[in-house]
Amino acid sequence: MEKNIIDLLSKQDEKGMALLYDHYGDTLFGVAYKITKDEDLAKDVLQISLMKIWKKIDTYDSKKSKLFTWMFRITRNTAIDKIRSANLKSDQEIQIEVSNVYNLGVESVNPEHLDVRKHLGSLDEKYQVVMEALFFEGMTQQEASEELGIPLGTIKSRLKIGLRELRKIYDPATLSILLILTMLI
Amino acid sequence: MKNEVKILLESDLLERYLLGDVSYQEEVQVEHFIDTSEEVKVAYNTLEENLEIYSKSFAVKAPETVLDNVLESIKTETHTVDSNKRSIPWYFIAACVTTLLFGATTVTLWKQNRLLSTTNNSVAGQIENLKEDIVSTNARLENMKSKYAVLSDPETQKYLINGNERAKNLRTVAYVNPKERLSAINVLSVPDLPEDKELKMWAEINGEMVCLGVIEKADKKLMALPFKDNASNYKITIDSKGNKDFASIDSEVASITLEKE
Repeated sequence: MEKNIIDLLSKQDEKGMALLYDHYGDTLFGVAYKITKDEDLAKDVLQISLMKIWKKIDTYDSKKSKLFTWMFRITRNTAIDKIRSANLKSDQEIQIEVSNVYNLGVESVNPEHLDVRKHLGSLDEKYQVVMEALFFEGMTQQEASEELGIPLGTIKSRLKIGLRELRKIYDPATLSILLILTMLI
Repeated sequence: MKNEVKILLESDLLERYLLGDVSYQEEVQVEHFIDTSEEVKVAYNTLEENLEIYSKSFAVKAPETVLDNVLESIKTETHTVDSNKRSIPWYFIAACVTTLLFGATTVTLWKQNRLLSTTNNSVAGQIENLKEDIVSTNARLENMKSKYAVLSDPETQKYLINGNERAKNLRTVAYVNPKERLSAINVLSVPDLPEDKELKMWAEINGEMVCLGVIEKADKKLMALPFKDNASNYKITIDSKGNKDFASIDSEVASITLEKE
């Protein structure tokens, strides 16, 4: 699938974009939404990111990273830039109280991700906080350490453990067991 | 090497590389370890997979309008690129090149034409000069012919003329051909004369003296003389300049009587 998408995009075939959107669109939109915490901004970020992917596909090197990693970087950086730009704009305008609550309707959530999200909750919050800070807040480990008031070594270890636990959760075999257990309960 | 790998894995460099938050030097360093260390490569691949899984957990149904907008932008962009490409069609470029070549050729030909015109004018001038030379040479040739015709004709009579006491240095030879009506004189030497005097040649016709012209030292060249019918003799005088009306006996320095047929 990944190779097919790359081939089509390299040939500037619109089918490649449609396929990419179908396969990665929800995840990238989720990443954009997670960072911007605003649906309209997330839409903008996704659209800009997809255009960047379309234009820069020739610079993608499959030996260096997976396609998703490359696209994640583009989306993440675009979202962070968008937030900075939006913050700069809001600083210049009248301050408006912004709710931190996500305005995310249930209908907009992809059903196939519901189980995944549900089980993400089973991951200890201390790991989630660190991973969100690093992956979605645009922080370095040092910045996360300072922001969260956690020693740098602890940040490193929580990230590693969190990712390891995450892998256990999302491992197909483990996921099946968890699903069965959920159904039984 | 193992120690370096351990340090790398314990640092956050691999995670930062995953997110693209590294400097160029760090990027080169991490890629070097990924290429050379299986342990680092596995760790990085695991990180990539975890990132994708982790990100998927936050997936939200992406609005179809975004895809529509993207595809629309792509079409517009492609159309713009095509339009830009079409805006300079091959025949336009060909026409431009042809025009430039035509212009360059025209300028070159114009310069060559101007050069040829100048050369042509120069050659025409030279031809004109040559024509004049030919006419002049022909005239001289005719003159020479007539002179030598006088000398070579058996009918020509030769007269040696020496000066009298007043012009001892005067020595001339006159040639007269009454049949062909030709006459010539070869001045061998002339006396030194005051500035207001000159040697003149006269012909006596029916008792009257007719001036034939002034004799000048001509470095032994043969000079044609106007032939006069019924001339009984020729005289040479030293006379004042400008006098062509009469020849006084006092001024006469040489005289020849023509033989009658």
